[in-house]
Amino acid sequence: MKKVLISILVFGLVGLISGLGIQVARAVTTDLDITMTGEPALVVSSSATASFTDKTVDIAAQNSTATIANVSVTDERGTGAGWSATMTSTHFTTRATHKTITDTDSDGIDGFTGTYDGLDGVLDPNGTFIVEITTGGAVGTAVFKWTNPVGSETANVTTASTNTLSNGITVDWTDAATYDVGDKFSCGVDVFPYTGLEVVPGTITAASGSLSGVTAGSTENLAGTGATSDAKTLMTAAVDKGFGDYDQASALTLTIHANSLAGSFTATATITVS
Amino acid sequence: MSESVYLIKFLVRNKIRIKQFIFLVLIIIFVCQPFTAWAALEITSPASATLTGKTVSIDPQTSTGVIGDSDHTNAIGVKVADDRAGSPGWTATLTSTHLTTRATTKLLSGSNNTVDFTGTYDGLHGVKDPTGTFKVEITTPGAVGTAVFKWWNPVGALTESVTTAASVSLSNGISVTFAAANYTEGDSWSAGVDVFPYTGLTVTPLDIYAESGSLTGVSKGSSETLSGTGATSDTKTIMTATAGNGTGIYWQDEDLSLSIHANSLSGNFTATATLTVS
Repeated sequence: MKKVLISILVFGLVGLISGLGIQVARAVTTDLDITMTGEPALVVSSSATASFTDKTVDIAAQNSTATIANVSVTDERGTGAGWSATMTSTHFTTRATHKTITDTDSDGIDGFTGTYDGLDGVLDPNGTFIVEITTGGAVGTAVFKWTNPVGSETANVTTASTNTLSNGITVDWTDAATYDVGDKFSCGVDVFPYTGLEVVPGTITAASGSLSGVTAGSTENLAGTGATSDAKTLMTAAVDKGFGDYDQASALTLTIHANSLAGSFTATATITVS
Repeated sequence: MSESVYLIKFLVRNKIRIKQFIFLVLIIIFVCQPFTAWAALEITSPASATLTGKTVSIDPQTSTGVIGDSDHTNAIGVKVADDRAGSPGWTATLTSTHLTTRATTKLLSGSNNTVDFTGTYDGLHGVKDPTGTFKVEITTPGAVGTAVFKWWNPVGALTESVTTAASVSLSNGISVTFAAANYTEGDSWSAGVDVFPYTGLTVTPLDIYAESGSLTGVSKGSSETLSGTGATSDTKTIMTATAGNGTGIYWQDEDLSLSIHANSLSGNFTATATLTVS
């Protein structure tokens, strides 16, 4: 019985101590989480315009320079997929005001309109669009023929308020006029091809993010055979790089051929990131 | 364990027989059950707390959340219950791991989409700019078990001559798995990892609600940012009861404010907060 009592005492103390909670430590966990949503697409922006230094028409070839400032790529996708910013350009072209070659009754035309696509290349002398009345009458009755800058002729076209010719150019007749056979008008066009445009991608700065793995493209002339050049790389971010906001200015040098038309030559550069 | 040994020795030394032992056990259960049922210090907390989602940005941001519901007068949030005799007092603390994420695997070179990265990044390489990556590249071609690879951790440290296997542990909680395929030299894969360190997590213990018991001597901890250098933060006190106080049931919500660094990975960042009372 003594043993039993001693046992009760010992075991009871053990139980009592543990029951009182001495050396008790309790721990629980709570999961914390936050979802970061990436922007669905890359963003690229650039200056609205870049003007080349003006030049005087010359009998010798020249160069003109410009800078496309503020080309900015922002990657807030959070994927690390990497990206490439590229540039294309149309040809630099101009269209001179029309000239009256023959106009029996001084009817005149409203003019030539549209932006020449430059696809007839650099012509020496400069190319012209020419329209000539072959059947007299009012607009809608009179018939004309026309030649493009390389001299290809298209005949038997009935006049309308506006007739599309080619390469982006249209002719606008004067609605109230009555044209005579032989009335003839022309419009000169000229081009500084993009193949004479050298692009020097500038040093990249990071407004946000790291420059690691973000590199500028090489210096090269634009290439291609269409109205718009092939894409030329301005800057790239490798996979797992390029998170943030990157800025670059690219220097441009344009070859100006000798004996060009006077006037403003324009082109459109398209900057894309993907 | 040592108590068990003592008990066995005690039983043998005193030649207690089986009937006596059963009787003893019944007595012990009878004596101790009331104490074990009543006398306890325990803590509970919600299973999860979600911070407000954010859109990846080129600028730093702050996200907020709460463990509980920010209502100081209800039985929601972190609960400490103490019904021990003697009111010895207690301290409730919180620790947290870093909030981390691991991006999906990218195939950098080759054609085998048979490699994946698994595991939870421990965040110990800190905030990388750009975000860190684990990268694996095959150096000796062959099947799994024959092919050999090298790998880089998020800080660019290189480990070479590792034989492929179904799963190979890299570091910082991340493993790489190789499914059956014929691997070619130069095959390469990566997985980005990112972290919002707990050193950017500010915890603000809110006012305590006493479901039962007195608030005398029971106080909330201060608002502070977690600190530490390891995978888990140092402990941060959220509420305490001084000796002689704190008997009852106490509820508290914890406001959270997390610094979100610019240009993070997208995805779900997770951490584990551990709440302890002692």
